[in-house]
Amino acid sequence: MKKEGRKILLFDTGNVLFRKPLQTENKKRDALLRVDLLIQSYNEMGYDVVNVGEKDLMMGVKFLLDLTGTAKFPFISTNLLDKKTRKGIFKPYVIKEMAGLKIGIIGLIDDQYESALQEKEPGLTISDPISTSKALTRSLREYCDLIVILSQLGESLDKKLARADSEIDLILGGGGEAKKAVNERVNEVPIYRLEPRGGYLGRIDYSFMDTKKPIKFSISTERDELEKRLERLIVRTTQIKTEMSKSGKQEEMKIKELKFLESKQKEVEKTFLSFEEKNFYRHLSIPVQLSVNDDPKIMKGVEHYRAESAKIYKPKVVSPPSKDLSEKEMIARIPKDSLFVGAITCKKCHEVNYRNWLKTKHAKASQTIVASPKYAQEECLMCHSTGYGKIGEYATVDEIPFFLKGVQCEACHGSGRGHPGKGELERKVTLGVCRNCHTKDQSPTFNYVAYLEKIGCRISK
Amino acid sequence: MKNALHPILFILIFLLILHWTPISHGAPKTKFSIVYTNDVMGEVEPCG
Repeated sequence: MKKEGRKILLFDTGNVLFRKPLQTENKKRDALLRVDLLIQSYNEMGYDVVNVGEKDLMMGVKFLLDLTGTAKFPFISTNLLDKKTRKGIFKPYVIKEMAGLKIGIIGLIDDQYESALQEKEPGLTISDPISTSKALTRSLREYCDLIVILSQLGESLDKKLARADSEIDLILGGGGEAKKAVNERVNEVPIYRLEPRGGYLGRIDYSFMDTKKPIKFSISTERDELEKRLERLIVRTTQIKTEMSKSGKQEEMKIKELKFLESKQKEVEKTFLSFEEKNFYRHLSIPVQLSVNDDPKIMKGVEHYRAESAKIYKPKVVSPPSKDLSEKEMIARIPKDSLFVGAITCKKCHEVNYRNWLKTKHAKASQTIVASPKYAQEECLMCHSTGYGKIGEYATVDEIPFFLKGVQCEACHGSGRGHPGKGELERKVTLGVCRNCHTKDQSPTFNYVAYLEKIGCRISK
Repeated sequence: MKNALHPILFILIFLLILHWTPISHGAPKTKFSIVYTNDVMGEVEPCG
């Protein structure tokens, strides 16, 4: 869009650096490579401002402050403060000028992370986001035509903020438990949040006829409906284009539908022009899949990351058994110091269960990710093999020790070394155990009772 | 007298034209976009 000459401001609402707690040294090294890639990519894309989220502080506030040397954009946080001085650790706000208008940007973090933060960083505090924001917006209003909040407060606090502070012109949401996108107006303040799990780009087009302060916008349900209609048309168009690109086929029905959708899109765009006689904005959530081409410079960075990341995960070398080995010989090849002993060892006493397990999807779980690219396999191996992280970390399915492929008995019941009698083997496999892998993202249709039946196991309480 | 009316007529016509042209009515003075991302680290690829 910038290359097309459009005047744009580019923001991220925060939590951009880390995803999950960095449990092992390798995960930490991998995460640092990702951070380098992300900063480089955000620089390349020309981000203007990024808000600080609680996950961005995972490696400590100093780590994030040091990054400001390489990042061409500022990290901001209005309510992350030094406990003694009560001053901001990062810039509390940024004012950007765009087409003659001054836009004040504020970054907020949820104060529910205060205690977790203080365990790591006793010198910091998070002030109440709503009162802090209110105090700042009042003074910023003097200089700014528009005030934008980059929020990590979650949906309900965003609404509370909108109700409490009418000086705000726009809230871009993030943080909290997000189940769906948000597109609504509370107290005339628009709150937008994209679908969780990334993959979308939000865009708000502003059009002004009268820039005298205070700026007022023309809002109506007719306009809102039009906006939603346009969004549906864009999403469906992208879906069809993605399907066609994946299948490589030019199906006649789909081409017809595509033409129809594109003509409807033009119609709606024309109707939108009538609103431009007043101050006006519209929001679009755009699926990134095919709408944005890969940038060669960024793709080079991605390839570099993948190559370096693959070097991090080195498996403990366990020689694969030859096909002709008997079960007894295979068991003999399992290292004596391995915490996990493999289903083949369990079979000695639990033959019925073992034979039953062989028929389940759990037994073939490693094979289902063979076709995925290498970097995706790294992400998936934790749940598609047994004992990952406890006996070493490996990068591809081929590197899984021969006796730990698939989701075996020990993946759910605990490692079997020392069993029976000693060892950490747990007999109860509760819903919580299953949920470690059957997350809502990866296993949306998971049902504890039904899935236990599939693998022939009993319910545990 | 005839000559003196010319400038007034000119101004009136100019104002009328200005009133009816899209420049004064339809075209917005200022346009820009805010583009944003959220939850970029939340992107999860299905494992299989």
